[in-house]
Amino acid sequence: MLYLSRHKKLSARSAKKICAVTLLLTVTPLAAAQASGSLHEAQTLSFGQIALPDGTAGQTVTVATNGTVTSSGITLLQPRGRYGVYEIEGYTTHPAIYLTIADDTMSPLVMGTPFDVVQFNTLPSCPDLAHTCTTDINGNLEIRIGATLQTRGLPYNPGPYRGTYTLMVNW
Amino acid sequence: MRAKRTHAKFILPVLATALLGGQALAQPVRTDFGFCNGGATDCTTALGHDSVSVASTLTINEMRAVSFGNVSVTCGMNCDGSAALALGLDGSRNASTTGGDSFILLSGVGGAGAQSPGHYTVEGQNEGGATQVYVSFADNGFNPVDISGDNYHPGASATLMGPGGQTFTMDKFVINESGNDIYGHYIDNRGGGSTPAPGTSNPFNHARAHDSSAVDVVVGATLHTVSGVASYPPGKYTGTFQIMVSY
Repeated sequence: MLYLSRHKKLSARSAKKICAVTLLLTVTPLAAAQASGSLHEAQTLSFGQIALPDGTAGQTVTVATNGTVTSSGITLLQPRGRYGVYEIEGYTTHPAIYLTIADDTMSPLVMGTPFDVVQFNTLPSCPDLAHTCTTDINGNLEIRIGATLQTRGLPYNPGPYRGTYTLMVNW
Repeated sequence: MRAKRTHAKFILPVLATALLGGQALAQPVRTDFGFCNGGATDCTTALGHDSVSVASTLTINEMRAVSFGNVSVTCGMNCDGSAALALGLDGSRNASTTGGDSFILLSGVGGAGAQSPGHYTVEGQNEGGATQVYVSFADNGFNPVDISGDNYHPGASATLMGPGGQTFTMDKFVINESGNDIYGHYIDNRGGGSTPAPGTSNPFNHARAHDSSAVDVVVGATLHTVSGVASYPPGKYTGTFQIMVSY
């Protein structure tokens, strides 16, 4: 609206045009939903302890959000994997949210071949604007994280592998 | 005229934006966290952690079972599951109750009653640069049971059974942990030689040679009476649980 202050001498016709444009802008729904609260990781996503019989690519371990752990070409040992848990708290405006997580990797503590971590999924499932979730009456929501670990077909040394991923909460 | 031209230059771009309001919502929205996805007007992010352990030569052996020692149990008409007996890492016992059941410690209050924490040895080869061993517990169905103050699996427990099929439950495992992080509760390896394991004392503070990845795990837990049990006949009550270690 700064341009209006610089051009105060307007004809009646110009003034009407400007007012009409202004009204149109006001009606257009562009207001952003304001939301605030906290988001923290309550439990890490773990694929447990595994044994790799060979170095074939594409072998997988899948941790589902219902707690089941399955594998293809990989032997599952104890302890078994478990889904990750995030707690959303205090979003008392109850925005409609959706969750996105990009594929990531897990690397050994020392140099070596990383695993790929793909197909992240959540419970509740709210992956886009067409499928959103809402918090409860207290503005809270518990999110489970499942995913699939995948080999690259290269030798994997025994030991621990660690990785991080980014959970994005959109509204 | 000039005024009109000037206003026209400003108005048209703004009007175009307004008419395309629906498409403007679909454009990436940049925030301090980067671009929000798929049409969101705002977003926030958090860093998650994942892990896996590739099997190695890590082994675990039971040197001594967890034993709550000699006790007697009193209940009302029927037991109500209110009595608890906590066994510490040093072998001490603490009985408590929230109802009509109670554990009576035999051989003196808090004194010797044949109780003992569990003792397990873990050995490995430090594969992958690991310097810590993570310890967790589960029942015989491999359902996780909480350790050291965690509350991720409330109600989960292992079971002891004795005469007449009566049972106790066992949960709230504790270990001589060196620390805990987002991956769980861990014990640092000995670092070689015969350095006593952290948190241990007689009879576990013994000197013996180990490789650099050897770890002693001392285990305590809490025993509970079970609601609905008519009475606990005298005798031995035993059970098993899963103790799991990984890098």
